[in-house]
Amino acid sequence: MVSYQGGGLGVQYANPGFVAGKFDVGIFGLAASYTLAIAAGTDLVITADSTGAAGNALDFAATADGTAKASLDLSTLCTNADTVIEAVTGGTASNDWTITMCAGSGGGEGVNIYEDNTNKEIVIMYEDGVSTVANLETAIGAATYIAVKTGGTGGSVLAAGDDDFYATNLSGGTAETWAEEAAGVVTLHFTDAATTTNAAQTAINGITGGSTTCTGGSAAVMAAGDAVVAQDLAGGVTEVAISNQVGDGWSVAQPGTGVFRITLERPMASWLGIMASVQKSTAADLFCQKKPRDGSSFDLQLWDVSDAALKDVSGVTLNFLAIGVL
Amino acid sequence: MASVTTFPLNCLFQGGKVVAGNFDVDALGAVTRSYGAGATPTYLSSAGKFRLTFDEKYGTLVSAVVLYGKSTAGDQFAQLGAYNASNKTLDINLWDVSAAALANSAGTIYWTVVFED
Repeated sequence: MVSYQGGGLGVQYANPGFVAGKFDVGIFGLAASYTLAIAAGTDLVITADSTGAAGNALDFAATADGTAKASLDLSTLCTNADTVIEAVTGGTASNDWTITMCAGSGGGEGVNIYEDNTNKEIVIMYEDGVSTVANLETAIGAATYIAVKTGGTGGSVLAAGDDDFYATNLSGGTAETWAEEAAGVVTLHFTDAATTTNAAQTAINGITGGSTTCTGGSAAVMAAGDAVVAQDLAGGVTEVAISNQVGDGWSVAQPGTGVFRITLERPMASWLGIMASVQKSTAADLFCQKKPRDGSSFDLQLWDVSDAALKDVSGVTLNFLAIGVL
Repeated sequence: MASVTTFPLNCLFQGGKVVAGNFDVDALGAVTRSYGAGATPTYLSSAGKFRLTFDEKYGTLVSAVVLYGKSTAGDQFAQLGAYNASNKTLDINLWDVSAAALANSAGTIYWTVVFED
C-alpha cells in the first residue's frame, strides 16, 4: 500500500481551491408516432423506427380503397374506342383478365362479347364501320365479368385496324389490404368492412424499407370512417442525459448542444487552470475544450472533429480538473 | 533554488489522491521514458493505444485528464479510453485527426488521475 506524506499538494498562490469530477453523457430519444383511431376496436399506433425529431417529418394516411378493380382504358389502345373497362370483381386477381378486341362480327351481328372465366380471357368483336362506342358499352353492360367504369364517346364508330388489340391485361387491381411509403408518407390501403387491424398492421410492417412500425392490431374490422388524410407523426425528440456524476461541490447542466456547464457550489475568485478530457471506450475524433465563464462556472465543450461542430455524443464521459483561488 | 511559499490545495472531498506522470512514445508506439510514480505505461501493440497500470487499487476514480505534447505541433490529441478498476488499468488513445484514426506519433503523453477513498 502506498503511503502519502506531508500536507498534500501545494500551490504557489494563496488559498487555492481544487475541483475535480466526471460525468457520463448519454443520448436517448423518443420516436414520433401517430395513433389511428379505429371505431370498432383497438387503435393502431404507427411509430417511427428511428428516434428523434426526424420522425416528425413522416406522415400517415389511411384510405378505404383496398380491393380495387383492375381496369383498361381503351383510348390507350384504340383510335375511336375510349371507354374505360373494369373487372366486376376487385382484388389483385382482377389483373389476370385480358381483353382482345377485333372487327370479327359479321354484317348485322353488332358487338359480341365472349368471356372465358377459366382462362380469364375476354374477346370483344364488333362490326367494322358500323358498331359504335355506345353499342360497345351496351354489350359490356350485359357482360358478366367486365363493366363500364367510365363511358366514352358514344357516337364514335369502330374501325378495323384502328380499334383492334390482342390479349391486353387489365391493371390496377389491388389487394384487400396493402401499404406503401412514398415521399415520407406511409399510406394504408384498406377495404371497408373487410380489413382487420391485424391485416393493416401486417401490411404496414411489411413495407420494404419502411420507416415505421405499427402496433395494436387485432381482429377488429376497419370501416370506411377509419380513413384519414395524411397526418403528421409527432413527439419525436432527442434528449441528452447526464448521469453518474462523480465528484463534490459542483453540478452540471447542458445549456446547448455539446456544451456542459459546470457550476460550483462555492465560487472561485479567479481561475488558475482548467483541464478536461474526453473518455470513450471506443476512440473517436472528439475532444473537449474549456471555456471559463466566471468564478462560479465554466463550460466543457465537446467538439466533433469530422462534423466540425459541437455535438452531443452518447457513451462519452467528460473528466475535468480545475484549480482556482478561493 | 529560489525559496517559494506554497499553500495547501483545498479540496471538497476527503482522502483525495492525485496520481500523475508523463511518458514519451516514439513513432512506433514504444514507450521510451516514463516519469512519475503510481502507474506504469505500456504500449498495447496497436496503433495509438496505450495503457496505464496503477500500482494500487485506489478508491473511486473522480477524474482523469490526459494531454499530448509534441515538439513540432501536429493534429493529434490524446483521449481517455476505458477504466478498469479491477485490473487497475486506464487506457489512453492517441487520435490523429487527418488520418481520422488512432495512430502512433512521437511525443509525450501527460496524465493526471484523481482518486477518492
